[in-house]
Amino acid sequence: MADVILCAGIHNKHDQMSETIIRMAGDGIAAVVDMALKLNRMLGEEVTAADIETTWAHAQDIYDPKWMEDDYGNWKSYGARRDLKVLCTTDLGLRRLVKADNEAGWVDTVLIKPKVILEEILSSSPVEAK
Amino acid sequence: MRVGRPMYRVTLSFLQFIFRLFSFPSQYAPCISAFRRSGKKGGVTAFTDGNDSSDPEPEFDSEDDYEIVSLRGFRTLENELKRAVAELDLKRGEVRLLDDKERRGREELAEVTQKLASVTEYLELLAEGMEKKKREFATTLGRLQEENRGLVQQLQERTAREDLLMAELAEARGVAATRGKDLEAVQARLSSTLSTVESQSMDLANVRTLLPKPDAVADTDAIKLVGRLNAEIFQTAALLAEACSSVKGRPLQDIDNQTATTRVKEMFGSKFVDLVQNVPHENNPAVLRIAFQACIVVFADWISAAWHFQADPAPQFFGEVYRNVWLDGAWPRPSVNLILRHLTYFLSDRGTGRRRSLACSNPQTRPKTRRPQSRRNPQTIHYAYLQFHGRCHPLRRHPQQTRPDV
Repeated sequence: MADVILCAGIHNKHDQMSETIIRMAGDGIAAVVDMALKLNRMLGEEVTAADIETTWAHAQDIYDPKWMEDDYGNWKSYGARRDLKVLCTTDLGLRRLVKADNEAGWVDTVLIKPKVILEEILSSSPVEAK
Repeated sequence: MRVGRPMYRVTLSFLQFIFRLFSFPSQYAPCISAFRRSGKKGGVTAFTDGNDSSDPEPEFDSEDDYEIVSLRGFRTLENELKRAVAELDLKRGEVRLLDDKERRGREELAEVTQKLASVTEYLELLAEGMEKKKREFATTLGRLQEENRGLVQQLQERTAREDLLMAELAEARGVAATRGKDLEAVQARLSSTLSTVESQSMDLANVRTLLPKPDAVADTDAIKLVGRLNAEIFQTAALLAEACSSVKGRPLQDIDNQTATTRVKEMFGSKFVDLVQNVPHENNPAVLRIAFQACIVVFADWISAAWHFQADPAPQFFGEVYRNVWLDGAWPRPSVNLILRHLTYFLSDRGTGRRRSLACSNPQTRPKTRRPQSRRNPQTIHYAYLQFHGRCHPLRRHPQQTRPDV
């Protein structure tokens, strides 16, 4: 986040960014960390019947609506293009892996699709707040 | 003996006289002759029987002799009559005495008869009572005899049963003695088995610590938690974006800005950097919010999947072990605690050069170790990013997902 702020040119001192971010959204980050730790404990220690893990799509991944969800929901307007790429992920996804005797060795079930922003947003209308 | 009536007695005396007259006619011949003459001369003829021709008349010498003989005969008859009258009176007296005796006898007889009747009635009553008592006694006797037979039969049955029970008791005592010996043997085996069970229970407790626990949460719990996490990420990112978009003016670009731009480009690509740098942020926090969301998503994913948060040991080690265990067929998957416990023991003994056998480790004797908490140890978000760009764990890839080379 500090890199993003510096990259956006809002600040120019990396040493001051920690205090700045904490001042801006310390409580929110603490809440996110607390929930992530709780999720770590839940998925790592309390679930043994399956392997449940969080998912997200990285930049330049090919957009696949089977595994992802467009955060702005307008990917259908891009027509039949199959080269839509992911710009970034905005919401975490969740999937469930169960070992099986099939060819892949497991059965993969998407519980929550990660929400992504497509690169095409750069060429479309200016980004607006949700 | 009953006494005859007086007239009968007189008649009897007269008949005796007539009998003597005809039996001894010589004695009474004068009398008879006198009667015959008196009858011929107009006198008495009562004593003639009409057979005068057959009965010769006595011959008298003279009239006087005849009279004398008649007088004598009359006197004799008179005397006989007197004696007969006297005898008759005597007999009458006797008859009266006899009548009195008879009357008294009859009275006594009546009294005796009455007494006899009363006695007879009493005796009949007694006989009836006796008969009744006899019947009752007979009934009672029959009943008592029946009861006696029943009691005798019961006694015989009980005696037989007692004998049988005694025999069974003797047999049971023998069986009890045998059972006692068997019980001692069983107790010995039981004590041996208990010791075995105790040792096996201890082993089972050791093994249970290595077994995976059943799921305490459902998938829906994880889904809800991820949903809340995404909402919190959105709020935090929006808050940061609002704070950043409210900053007026931009400072001069420094070396830190270039370094940060390189990192962001490495993490999210050049187009992301273009988006962050070229879109004006003042009063338009949407792009910054998206960028912050992307950063926080990677950060939260790293935390949720981290093996531990220590700098050492190397995170790849845990990931490789987990993957190998997972792929080698341990399913349901081993809990993270189990894997980390194994790894911790292994790592704690690795420095001393000893290698502990995990399967035989005793939780009662083994040392307490700190609890590792992470599955991966990407030391920075940058590392997590690199994992997803080529060095990612195979299980963290979608099977159908194709990833371009970076």
